[in-house]
Amino acid sequence: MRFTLGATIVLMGLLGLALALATGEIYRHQTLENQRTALEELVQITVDRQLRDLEERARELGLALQSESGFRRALASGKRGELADQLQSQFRQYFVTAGIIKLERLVVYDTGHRALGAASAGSKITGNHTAGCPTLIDQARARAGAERMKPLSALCLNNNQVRYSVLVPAGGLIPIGYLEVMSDPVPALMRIESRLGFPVRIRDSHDRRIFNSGAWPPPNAMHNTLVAEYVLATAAGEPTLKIAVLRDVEVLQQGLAKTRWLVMVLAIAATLLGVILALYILERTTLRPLNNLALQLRRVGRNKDHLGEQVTTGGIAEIRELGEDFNLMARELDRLYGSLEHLAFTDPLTNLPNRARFHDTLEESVRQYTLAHQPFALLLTDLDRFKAVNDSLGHHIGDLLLQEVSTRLRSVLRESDTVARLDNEAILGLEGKMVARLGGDEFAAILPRVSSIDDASAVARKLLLSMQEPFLIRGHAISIGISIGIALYPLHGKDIDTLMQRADAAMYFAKNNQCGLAFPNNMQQKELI
Amino acid sequence: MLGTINFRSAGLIVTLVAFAVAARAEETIAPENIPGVTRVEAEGLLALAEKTPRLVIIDSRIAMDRKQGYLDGSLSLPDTETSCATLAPLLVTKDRPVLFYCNGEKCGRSVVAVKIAKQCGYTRLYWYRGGFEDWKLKGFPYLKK
Repeated sequence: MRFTLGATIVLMGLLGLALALATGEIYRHQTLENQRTALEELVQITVDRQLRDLEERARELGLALQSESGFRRALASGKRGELADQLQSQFRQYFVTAGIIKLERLVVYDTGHRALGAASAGSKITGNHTAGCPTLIDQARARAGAERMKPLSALCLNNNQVRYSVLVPAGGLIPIGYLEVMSDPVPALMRIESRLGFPVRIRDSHDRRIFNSGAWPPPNAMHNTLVAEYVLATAAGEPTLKIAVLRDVEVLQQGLAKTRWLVMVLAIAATLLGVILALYILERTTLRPLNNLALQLRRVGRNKDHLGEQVTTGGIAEIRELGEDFNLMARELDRLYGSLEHLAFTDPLTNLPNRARFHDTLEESVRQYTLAHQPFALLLTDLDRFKAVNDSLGHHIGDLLLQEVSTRLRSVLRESDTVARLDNEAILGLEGKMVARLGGDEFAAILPRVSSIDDASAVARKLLLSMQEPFLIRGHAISIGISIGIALYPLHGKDIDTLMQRADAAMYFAKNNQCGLAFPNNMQQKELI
Repeated sequence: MLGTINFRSAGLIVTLVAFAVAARAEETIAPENIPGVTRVEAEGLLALAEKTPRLVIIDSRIAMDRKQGYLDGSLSLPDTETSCATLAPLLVTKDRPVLFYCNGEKCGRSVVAVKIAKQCGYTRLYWYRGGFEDWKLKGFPYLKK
């Protein structure tokens, strides 16, 4: 029972632990996912912001460039060569030298968005070949009115290089042309690292490395990190750059691992506690009460004297009820046993102890002498001429007579609770005395602690006296006498058989000599009443 | 008796406060329209510039504000320095189209300047109520030099 319960609780504990760990794992996964999503969003927002910054600066550069009077003159005149020269000289603007923009190219257009000239870092380009960002120009062409004054920006691939172009109107409030400022966005994107404080890695669309932060860990050290990548695409959807940001989640992982350990420890502790508690409760409410019951049963089994003893089990209601039922049964059995015993040891006619009981008492009395040096006297008696009464008046009257005789004998013995002696040493209480019917018209008495002939005689005389009064039975007055043979233990015999024999012989002597009572060794002592 | 007095006093206080608020607001928000002046917004300004090549654009802000950026081709004349004497060399004739702007609707400088111009007798007056704030917000080009 203990094992089953313990095992069940442990099993439940394990299930609970498994569940907790599974939940923990799900939570960990979810947390990391959330972190990744948040990081992705952060990357996206930061990249967009950087590009917006770049746009703002490129715009400023462009507007500053186009406001130069030399440039305006060249643009107004339409002389391409001059324009190219102008553009070329502008590469030395402070924006560029200060490293704020990595300028790649400048392209100038007329009001119809046709390229008039361009300049790259280091060289001037004349002619018609596509120098700028085509999507930018296409978008620009689609605009009209005041919209043309607003800036336009686009990400595009120029000779497989990623470029960021900004188009500004040239010429003041009434545009006379457009200027495209094309820059390399990678330096601006590299600045994400200092902005966010996380290592940054930039790859192109073919996964070739463009920039790797010094703090980016090598591939074998990538566990406990979270990487979020944002793919920057042109307006047409072509992927251009893959910007990844790395976050160290070791602290998070450690925290989660610690939580997991804590959960495990708590689960195990709780399970153990649960087992101990359950076993304790089981012990107190069920096992111990049952044990009480079992002990009592065993006790009764060993010694029938315990039968009838009541048991308090305590514990749960069912066991208490069981205990009460047991008690009920025990009382019943005890009563039954008592009845049986009674039946076994009682003479049905006279209700006096029967022969069997008498012999038991005799044996017990001998034992008492062995233990406590307690002597006793044995009286055997039978009715004189009982047979004659039976024959003349019938068995029924005979039976009634026996009953009356029994009653008188018993009452005499009961009265003789104290037999006073001349020296005032009273024999207090002849407890343990009994008068039994041995069978037929034979009776016997045991008088404990009576050791002298005088004391025994006194009791015998009382018995004889009680028989003198005739019995009135169904209208018949019947006079009947008894003869008593007395044997003292251990005086007249050291064992029961001897004692019985000698008492018997004394009785017959008394009967034959009609002297009422007689002792064994002084069969000469006759007394006439 | 005491109750009715309280009610009346409260009503009075509320009215006074409302007036004060309105009065204060009136100080910092430029009027919707100025009589005798054509109000334009950003797109209107561009259209105007295209049609009226002789348009003079006057920036009524102080130098510190102007440093934050200004409309290409605008002239700097803070309202505090605006007078018939200072306007004359810039506009020359009284029918020269002129537009005033400053920072925006919370700025009163262009209001002051255009009113002065009107008093000086200039007839073709334009006013960009939205000002530089509106211009920049809409993404139109400006210079910073």
